[in-house]
Amino acid sequence: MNRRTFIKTGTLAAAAGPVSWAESAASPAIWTRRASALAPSDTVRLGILGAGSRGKDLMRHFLRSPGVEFGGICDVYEPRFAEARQITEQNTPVFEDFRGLVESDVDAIVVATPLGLHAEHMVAAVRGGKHVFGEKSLALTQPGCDQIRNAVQDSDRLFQVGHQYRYAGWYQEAVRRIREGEIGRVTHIHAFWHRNYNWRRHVPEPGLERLINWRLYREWSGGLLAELGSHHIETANWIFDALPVRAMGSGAITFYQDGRETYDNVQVIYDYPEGRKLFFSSVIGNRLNGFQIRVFGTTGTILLTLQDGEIYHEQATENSAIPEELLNDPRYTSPTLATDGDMPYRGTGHPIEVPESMQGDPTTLATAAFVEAIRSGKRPEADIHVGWGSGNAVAAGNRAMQTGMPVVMESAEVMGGGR
Amino acid sequence: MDLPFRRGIRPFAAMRTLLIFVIALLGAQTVLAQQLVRERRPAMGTTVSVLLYAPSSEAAAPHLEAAFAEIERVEQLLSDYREDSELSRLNRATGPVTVDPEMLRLLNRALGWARQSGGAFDPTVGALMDSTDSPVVGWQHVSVDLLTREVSRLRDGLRLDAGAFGKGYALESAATVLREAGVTSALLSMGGSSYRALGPPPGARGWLIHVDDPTEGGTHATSVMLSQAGLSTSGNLERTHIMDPRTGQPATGCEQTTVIAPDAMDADILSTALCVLGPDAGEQMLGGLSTIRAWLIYAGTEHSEVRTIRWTSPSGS
Repeated sequence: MNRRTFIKTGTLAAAAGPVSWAESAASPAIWTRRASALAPSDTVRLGILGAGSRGKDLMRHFLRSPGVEFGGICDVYEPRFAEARQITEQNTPVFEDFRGLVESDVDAIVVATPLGLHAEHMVAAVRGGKHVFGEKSLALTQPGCDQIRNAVQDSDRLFQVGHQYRYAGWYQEAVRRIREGEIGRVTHIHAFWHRNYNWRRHVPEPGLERLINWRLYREWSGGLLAELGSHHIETANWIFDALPVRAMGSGAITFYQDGRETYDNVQVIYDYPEGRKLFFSSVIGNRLNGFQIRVFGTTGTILLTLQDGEIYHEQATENSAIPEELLNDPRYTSPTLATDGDMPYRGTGHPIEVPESMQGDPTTLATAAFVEAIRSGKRPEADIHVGWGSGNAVAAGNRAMQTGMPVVMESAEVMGGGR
Repeated sequence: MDLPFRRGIRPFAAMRTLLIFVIALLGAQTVLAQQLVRERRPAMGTTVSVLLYAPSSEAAAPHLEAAFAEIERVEQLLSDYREDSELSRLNRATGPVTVDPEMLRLLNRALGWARQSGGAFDPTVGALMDSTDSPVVGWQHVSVDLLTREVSRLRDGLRLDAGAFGKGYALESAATVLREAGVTSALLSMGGSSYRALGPPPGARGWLIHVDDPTEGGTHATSVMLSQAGLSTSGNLERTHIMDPRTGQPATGCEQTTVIAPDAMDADILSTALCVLGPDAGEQMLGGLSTIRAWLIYAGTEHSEVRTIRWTSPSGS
């Protein structure tokens, strides 16, 4: 049996039976290793499709896994070839057409092209027999998300979406503590990614504007909601263990009226089952809030940032939402978390401790997990359903902002199947 | 190589520095099309400053973002403070760790300087900096396999530390990003002790940098015109203390070392190594390194002793 057969055997075995959204989302973040589909000494050959800033960063992370090499670099912008070869420090084959990379002998393709190309590229890669690590957001449109999901479900290939915070130790610990009830019933999440810069990249010549600054044009980009907010939406899906059912939003170009088409001021609300809400805000003209996800529960709050997490316990009082059995629990009676009337709490919280075995850079952990999935044939934690859940919500949120009308999402039909 | 001399007895050198300063100012006045844009941000536990010439502040903005993003990337690679950094991953591991080619090259280069300096510079001083009871230090205990890209720490407790080369590497990397984007005139700096210059300001010979006198506040020990090179200053005064990795004790006798090298990481490493080595061994080490220039101040018996190495003919500086 050759190596390729081993892969197929492994993946088919793991695909037995559909996996529901709930099972997928709640599955443990640390996998037990299955019978190996590739010997640990076998090289995993990857191809990079889109060697821009994120693509090159992913390459560096992938090369931190043992036995990984890049067998192909594909881009439409010629300078990227030399830049990517600087990372591999090898004379890695290059492709100007993605179909060449799909037809090459790489085991998997890392897709980091502009969002508007994700559907075409990811579907082609999966149908071409490649495992796919696909950058978030999944696709620009809801039909595009469906096409990728269907292609993955119809194949025996592995798919992992670039939601690296699924692999972040402080996120996993936060979700575990939420599941254990430490902050009570989570009713709403407020999430921000606020920056103060114009989001433009340097363009060597005017003709390259839409190629380099694709994030600013609707043909290729879902704007701040896709490039930044998809992470927050994915985290809310994970915490709520559900997908949003409706998106309402309002966006505008408030400050950077420089010919761009994507909003610099994005405010979106997602409804989840049982009335739970995610509010997401992104601006690029003020950075006070930075990146944060505030998870509000009836007995506490969790704050997640790009580097760590904190937990705040509500002060228990006789008529608060806190259950009677917690009235004497020292965590909920701590005077340090008391506020003066309705003044906001301005102190710090308790750090969310992360065991050493779970520490590490989320992207390093996520890329290592994908390599491990290829070797073991085991479905990744951040699978196609995780990708579809956030990607579809992003596309719906953008449609809501562009039309000014709420967009209802029929999430229930997505359950099951695929790898 | 210059002979050692006592400080304050070379009026000619001071006159020459002043002259270059005047020429630079005259040159800068003739520039019309380019505008100096400056931005400072906190990174790597200090303040990072980027100065560059561009047609407008709008044209400079993407370059500034790209430069700071690169410094942030290197910080994520080398921070000893962040548990999610690549260096922290190496320091946590109990066995061989596969690293990407960049990290492999970086560590290999750092270990090469450790070997060449006889351990006066050592990238394994992490435990020493932690003030643990019996710190494990020694560059010889790091194994780098260039074929498998595996790095192994061969002693328990040995901790890699980028304190003496991280800033220089970050500046060098950000300078590369700017150069590849077409920026020709820029100066990057960190915390006032590490610099990397691209080309000079339009019409000038270089970026004027004053090196403070470590013994007399408010005065300059020397000044240089920096261009297409890195400059790093190390010293044992105020809050900073250079440790001698070979003894585990603070380096004695060194007041301040300033090194100019084509690469900012090399400048960073050599300013530390020369501080630890002292004047004679330091001069011996730089003997064959023709692209390195140094201005060194060591504590003498009565006066501070200044040694310069290739400092009097700083072509490009």
